[in-house]
Amino acid sequence: MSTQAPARPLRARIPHQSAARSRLGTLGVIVILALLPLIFPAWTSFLIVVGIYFLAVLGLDMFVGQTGQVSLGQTLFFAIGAYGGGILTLDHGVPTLAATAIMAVASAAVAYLLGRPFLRLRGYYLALATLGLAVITQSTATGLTSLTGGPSGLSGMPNLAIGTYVFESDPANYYVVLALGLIAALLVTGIRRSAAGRALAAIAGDQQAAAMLGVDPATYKTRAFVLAATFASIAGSLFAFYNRFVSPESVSVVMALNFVIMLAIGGSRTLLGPLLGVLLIQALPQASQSFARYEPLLAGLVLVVVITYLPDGLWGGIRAFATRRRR
Amino acid sequence: MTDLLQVTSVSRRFGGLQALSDVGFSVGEGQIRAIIGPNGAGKTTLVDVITGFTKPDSGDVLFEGTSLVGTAPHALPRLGVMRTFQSARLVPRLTVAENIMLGGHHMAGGGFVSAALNLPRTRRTERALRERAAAVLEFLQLSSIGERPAGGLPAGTQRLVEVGRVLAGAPKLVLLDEPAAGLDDSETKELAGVLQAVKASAVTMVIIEHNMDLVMSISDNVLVLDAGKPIADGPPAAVSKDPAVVTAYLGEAS
Amino acid sequence: MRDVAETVIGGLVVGSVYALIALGMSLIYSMSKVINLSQGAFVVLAALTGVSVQHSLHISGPALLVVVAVIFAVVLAVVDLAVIRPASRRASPDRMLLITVGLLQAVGGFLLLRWGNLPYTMKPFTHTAVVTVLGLRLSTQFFWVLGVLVLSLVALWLLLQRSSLGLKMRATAQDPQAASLMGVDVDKVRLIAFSISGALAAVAGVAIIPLTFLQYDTVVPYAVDGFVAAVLGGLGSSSGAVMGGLLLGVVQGVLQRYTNASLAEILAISSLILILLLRPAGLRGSLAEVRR
Repeated sequence: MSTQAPARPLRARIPHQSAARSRLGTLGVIVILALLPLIFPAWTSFLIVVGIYFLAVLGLDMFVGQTGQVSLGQTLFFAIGAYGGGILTLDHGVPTLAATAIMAVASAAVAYLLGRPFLRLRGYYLALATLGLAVITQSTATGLTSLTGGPSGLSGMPNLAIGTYVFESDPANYYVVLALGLIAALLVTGIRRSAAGRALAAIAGDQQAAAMLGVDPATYKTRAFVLAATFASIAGSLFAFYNRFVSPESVSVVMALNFVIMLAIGGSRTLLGPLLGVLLIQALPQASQSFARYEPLLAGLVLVVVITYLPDGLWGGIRAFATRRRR
Repeated sequence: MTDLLQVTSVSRRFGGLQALSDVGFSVGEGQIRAIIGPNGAGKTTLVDVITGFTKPDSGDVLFEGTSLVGTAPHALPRLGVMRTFQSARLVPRLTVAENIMLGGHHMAGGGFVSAALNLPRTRRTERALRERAAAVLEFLQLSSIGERPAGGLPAGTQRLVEVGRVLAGAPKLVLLDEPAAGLDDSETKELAGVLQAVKASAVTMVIIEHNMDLVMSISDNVLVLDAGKPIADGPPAAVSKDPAVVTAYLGEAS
Repeated sequence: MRDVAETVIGGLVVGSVYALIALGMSLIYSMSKVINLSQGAFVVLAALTGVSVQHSLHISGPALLVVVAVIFAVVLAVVDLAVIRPASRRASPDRMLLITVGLLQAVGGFLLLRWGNLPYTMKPFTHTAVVTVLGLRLSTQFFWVLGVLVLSLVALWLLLQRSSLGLKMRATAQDPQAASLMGVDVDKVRLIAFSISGALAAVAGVAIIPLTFLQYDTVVPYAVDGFVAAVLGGLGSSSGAVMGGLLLGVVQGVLQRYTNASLAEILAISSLILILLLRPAGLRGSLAEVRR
């Protein structure tokens, strides 16, 4: 039972060194991210979209990666944020920031109400029920023309604004998204490292055992679901206010599957995994017009290969490879 | 001596199977009570009834004089009742220390918001939990593996960590479902030593176990179940000589 | 009244396709506990393959059914060998669902590359396109679709209940480990299940395409509706799959006729969700599987 001889020196060395190093690394990453629009001005628009989807996928990771549940219906909350934000600003003159907040609260409330009954379902049944939400979302966006503008969508909503300052330019929007992305990363990391994060991990492992440790699975699953919904809603609002346009295509069933695909390809339970997944799936069609035709096929095949051979996604695979090399 | 746990005439039926019929026993504070019996005798069902996973058809479970029937499993650790399962159920991707900290989950303060913002409340209880976990690791002499992921540990170590996880919750009563299953002789001895030490710290225990050496060496009283019915109850030495037990269980084993 | 009857029959025809998809999913689920979400995508792929085969060979409808069925029996066998089998050795059941999401995406992508984004259709199998039965004007292709479903059911029933292979399949469905101990080659049985589901998808696609337009992005609705039908009927139950498929087809047909397409979809899916929440075992199936 005592095969742990070499562990002691390892433990003594790593924490201090890596804590300082990782703090420095984080700072470096933030500086690079902040400089990106200056280095690659032509890419700024692409990076904004990446940042917006990163927010949604990072939230989804708390529910899927950390808690081990399935949701194929994140577009519902993305749509509440996007369409709700659009309608509030266009028809009711609500300021953009307030509209984003109102819709985030509305999404959280919807997720809370759906959470209790939905999260009693297991595995495939939860997958189907949430996929049903995605279908309803797409059909509502397409069919409820009076509210959503139907197939042609909603357009002309204002850009995001704080007081009298309007975030009109790409760099301005980029820094908003960057700031929100960093805040989201901070919040998610905080949860992951705390008792709440451990409770979610315990549920992912075994709900019965988690219950016997004092973790109420229903409560924690609902909380993770609400968190994921809130992030998706804010991402949706940002999407609508940046593009000044939203159509059923942005909240389609295919898009709902894409959220999960981005997470699965990149890798769960890290910050860089979701970012990598979003970058890949969003970058592929951007690479060139003719390449866009190959995107769905490639994305599908990459997903199959990653799920089969890299259980922790591309980023997990890269990390595992790096650790092996270092040894 | 007062009884910490009293189980009175519990019966439970699953379809055509009478899993438990009229089972009763009590455990005094600081005692170790073993429950033995052939496979399918209803031992795990009994623990499930005590810990709220299964509702009894009749009978009652009293802990410190109040009924546990109808209490949700996740509410038990706060009352001081914790259990382990037949197969070790550590969270493989968390470290050993984090797994042990999970045992004290009911002492953690603040929810998602507090954790997300890393508020003082969360920081304070996290520190307390980490210190508790360190103390438990020290007690189990596992401090050196605290930062390892629990997933890759040998079965014996996982079992010790699981016992440690329960101890981190500062329980009054611990139910252990076959703690020695899958352990070799030296691992079982080490486990017995740990359980003795746990007992010395005044924690009451109910143990389901097949390993008779372990049962005989650590328990104060033994309840023998056969086909859901209690057939003997008493100190290990007396029970092992009981003719009914010899036929039903020990005879079959030897 | 005539209108209602025609709507219901139209719904049964579309429902037959859902039933065939659900049957394939159900068969694969019974043998390997994998939900093949891409099953509906292969219906579209088979339909367009049928269009291309027809274009170059000019064969009769029934012959086309057979040719495409053989092709897709092979295609799905390859999918099992190349994708599902290696993946299921490594990935948990939850993640297997994602594998099939990837397949769904890949099939859609392949359709886009090979056939572009234009909708395709095909001439009905029979020259007289419409007949009048009991005062109802019905497309002759309706009978082909319903016939294909009935024939598939009979063939499947004979295979499962009356052949030694069927016995092995039923044993595998019950308990793969025990079956394997009794000498059943479980991998081979699963391969055959995939082949059969490929043939079922193929005949569904070829039979329905004369009645509709299909292109790369119709894979998702078929995948979703097939999944809905399979769960509605209770996963793993063949009779349930057929009932679920036909019921879904009729409900959608009636709702589409008397409301609009989007509302029909919303109502159909909302009722599915309600059924999942209130009667989670489906029309047939057991409760224990659904909830934790």
